[in-house]
Amino acid sequence: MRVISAIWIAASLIATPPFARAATPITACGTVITKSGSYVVTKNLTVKKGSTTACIAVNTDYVTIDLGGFTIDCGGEDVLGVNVNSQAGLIVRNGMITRCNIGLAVSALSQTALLVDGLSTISNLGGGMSLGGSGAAVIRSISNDNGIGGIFLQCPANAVDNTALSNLSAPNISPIGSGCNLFNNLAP
Amino acid sequence: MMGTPPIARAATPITACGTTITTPGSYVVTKNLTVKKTTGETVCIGVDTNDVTIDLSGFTIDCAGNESAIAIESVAGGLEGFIVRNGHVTGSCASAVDFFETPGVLVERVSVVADFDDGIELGIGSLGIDNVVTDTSDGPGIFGDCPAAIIDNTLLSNVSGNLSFGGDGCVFFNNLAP
Repeated sequence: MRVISAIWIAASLIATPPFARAATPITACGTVITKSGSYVVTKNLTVKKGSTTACIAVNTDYVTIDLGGFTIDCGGEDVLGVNVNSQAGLIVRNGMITRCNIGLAVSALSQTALLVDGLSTISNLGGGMSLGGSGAAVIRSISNDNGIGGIFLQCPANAVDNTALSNLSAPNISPIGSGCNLFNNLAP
Repeated sequence: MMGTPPIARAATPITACGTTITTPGSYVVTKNLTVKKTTGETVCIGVDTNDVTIDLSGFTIDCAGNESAIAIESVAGGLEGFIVRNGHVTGSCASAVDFFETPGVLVERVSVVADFDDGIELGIGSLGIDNVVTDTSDGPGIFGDCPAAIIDNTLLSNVSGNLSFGGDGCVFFNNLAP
């Protein structure tokens, strides 16, 4: 019986079509993304002491980063958690960034279709999220206890269903310009 | 023991444009997809059956400048029950997600940049939520065939209107669509 089961399991494994290619894993800080695609963090990432570069840098368009529920911890070093220098099409989701200079920093050159979903930025030295360039959407995210503000938005942009609390030196959510839609956020 | 599958069946991978889905089920894109045909009508992922989920899995469909190409389309009438989520479409597609005549579809967390014509088209009874559509050159960001629900989307700089609809009874809630 045991032998038959083993044969059946082996046959099932062979019959299961392999995934041709999954998202590219990110396993360490110092990653620079230069190719469009889907990326997934597969472990907690820690910035090394004395580091001067972002944990993850994005230098191309159409990139998705799934933090996979893991945490980027900069350990108080003066670096960015995720630094984005692309122009269009970025999704960041599903994880935490802490003790960085800024958790998620998107340069002012970035323009269109930025979606932040389910991201927690906690206890960063500067801001939680600094989203330069208009057209961002921040949903279901948390930005608490950061040194200089929670979520900075270049309007028009969309911030919905977020929690931003106890951020120092600047508002919990800071829309810059006009035309932002802020709805259902807890951001006293 | 023998009647219990040891491994749950995985979603079917989609690895190239030109895919037509004819069996209900769950499908996942596993790499960036680029339309090969440089001119003329072509569809990257066609759906020709009911009850299909397509997870773009963070990847991008690029129409590569073919302004007649459609990234994802219902290729037959009378179908329903599609879900599309989680990825990007760009490259001057004629349409990113064309489910105009397909009722009961869910499109969520899809970013669409610089389509030639329409961004996302939804049939009756559909839901479009948490999408970002910008810079279409000759069509709306999202079109809904009412009644449909279009919620929490970010729609900017679409030349023929950020949000468009036909009929009565649509729900538009909390979209950024100036």
